Amino acid sequence: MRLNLVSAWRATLRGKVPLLPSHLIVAVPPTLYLLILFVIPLLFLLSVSFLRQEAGLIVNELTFENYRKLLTDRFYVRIIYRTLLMSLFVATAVTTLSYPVAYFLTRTRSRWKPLLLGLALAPELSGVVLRTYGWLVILEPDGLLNGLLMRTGFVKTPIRLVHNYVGVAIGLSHVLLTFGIFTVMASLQGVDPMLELAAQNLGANRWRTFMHVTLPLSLPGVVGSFFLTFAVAAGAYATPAILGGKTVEVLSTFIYSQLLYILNWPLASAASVILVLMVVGTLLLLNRLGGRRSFVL
Amino acid sequence: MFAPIVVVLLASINSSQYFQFPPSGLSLRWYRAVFTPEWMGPASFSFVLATVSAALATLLGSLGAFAVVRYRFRGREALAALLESPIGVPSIVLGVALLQFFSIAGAKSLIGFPALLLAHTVETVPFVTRTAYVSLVGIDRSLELAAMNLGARPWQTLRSVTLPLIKPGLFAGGAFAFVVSFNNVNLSLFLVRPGQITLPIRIMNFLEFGTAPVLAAVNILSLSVIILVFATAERVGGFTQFIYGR
Repeated sequence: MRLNLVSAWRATLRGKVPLLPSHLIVAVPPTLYLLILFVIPLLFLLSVSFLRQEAGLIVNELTFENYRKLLTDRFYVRIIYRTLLMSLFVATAVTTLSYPVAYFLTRTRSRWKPLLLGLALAPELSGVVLRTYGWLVILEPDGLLNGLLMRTGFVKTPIRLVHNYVGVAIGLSHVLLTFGIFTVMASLQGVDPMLELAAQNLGANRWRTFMHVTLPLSLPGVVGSFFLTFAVAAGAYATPAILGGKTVEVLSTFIYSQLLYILNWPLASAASVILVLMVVGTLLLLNRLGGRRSFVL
Repeated sequence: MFAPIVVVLLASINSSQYFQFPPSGLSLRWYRAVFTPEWMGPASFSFVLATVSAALATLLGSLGAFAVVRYRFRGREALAALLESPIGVPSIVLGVALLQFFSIAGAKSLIGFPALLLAHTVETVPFVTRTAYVSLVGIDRSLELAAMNLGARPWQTLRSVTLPLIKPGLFAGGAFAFVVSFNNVNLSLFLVRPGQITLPIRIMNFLEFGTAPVLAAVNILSLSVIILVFATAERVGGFTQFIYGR
């Protein structure tokens, strides 16, 4: 790309071509945009993560101190560990819950299918803040669920469902459900129903057909859904901040407070790099386990 | 799956200060509280931001998709990967990176609307690129050839044949880009400034001091904005064609 640009520019200077070849006209604006506002800022972030901060000021001196601190100090290790655990839990829950829904939506012959698809997509439009707020109203100590449980006599005192990891996990799983459903669906749509019929014709029962035909063929969607929900959950800020309150600290909330309240940019940058590595590492691991390139990338 | 949304809807028309189920009385008092500058300011700010960002993303994304689908050149695969890559980086990391970038590059004055616009567009370009890819791959090229055969200049062909054919895809991508920007939290967190604040961030700030029924009404209002935008995009661009197939 760059080579092309350079040679085209030289040719233009020499007066050989009157205009840039047209693929450059369409390719250059988005390339430049993403280079300047995506690639370069991320490289900045990477370099800041290796700088030292002393007495609130960034010192121009390379160091691994930020990473050493984050990966050895028990306080920080616990934040990383909890982020990982929570994201793994959410990814597993979402993928498991979305598979049956996606299967139904793919295979249904109902004439209400467009409506059902629209309904499945609808929560995605309402935004993470609205849905998280909804869960807050439901799960609060004096909220809907506790009120219901106490009125029916199941519990005497309200159970704590918010301001802990349970609430955050419930909220995040719901927020990401639509994501999971549509990723699995994209893959299930490619599975020919005839193959299932063939398996059943050859004497396989429904369970065997599912385990040996449908599931393996839709595996890229399962892996894709797992990865996407893992990635979004690991970087989610709103849900942990709203449902977790001050007691839940995950990487995203940690990065936010380091950057804007503590003003330790190098540490916030290093934590961001670790978050990216966590996501990329999961992707590589899933690709290896899947034995082939996953659905996502 | 819809429980949280239904609960918010009920809470917004509930007359008492505390949420009760079933509601003790109905009232629109919380909606009256929404139509004050306190909430309408951030709401209209978010609306303008999301509209401009979706337009910019549609332009950049469709250019990129056009380059990748229609031309063969060195670095084509790299461009395709670049156009997709913002999806692979947690957006909170991009928010941190952009805040530092603007500060270090001496462009701190951009924080506020300009920075939010630039940042949201990075995040939304992949959505438009994807739908534009699918549309471009799906169109019958012989239609374009026929137009040129009949004497249309390339530009004319693009305007009156190609663009109308990919219009549903562009509107679908644009509508999703609007939603992503309108609901965005992770980037906006770092790039708002007093007086230039988006609706989701305003709600988040409010939530730090506890819940109030007015928030339910605000949330329902923001949901109706999105539904309205989708209805308009469908009316003008017919994007359900794109989603459910022709």
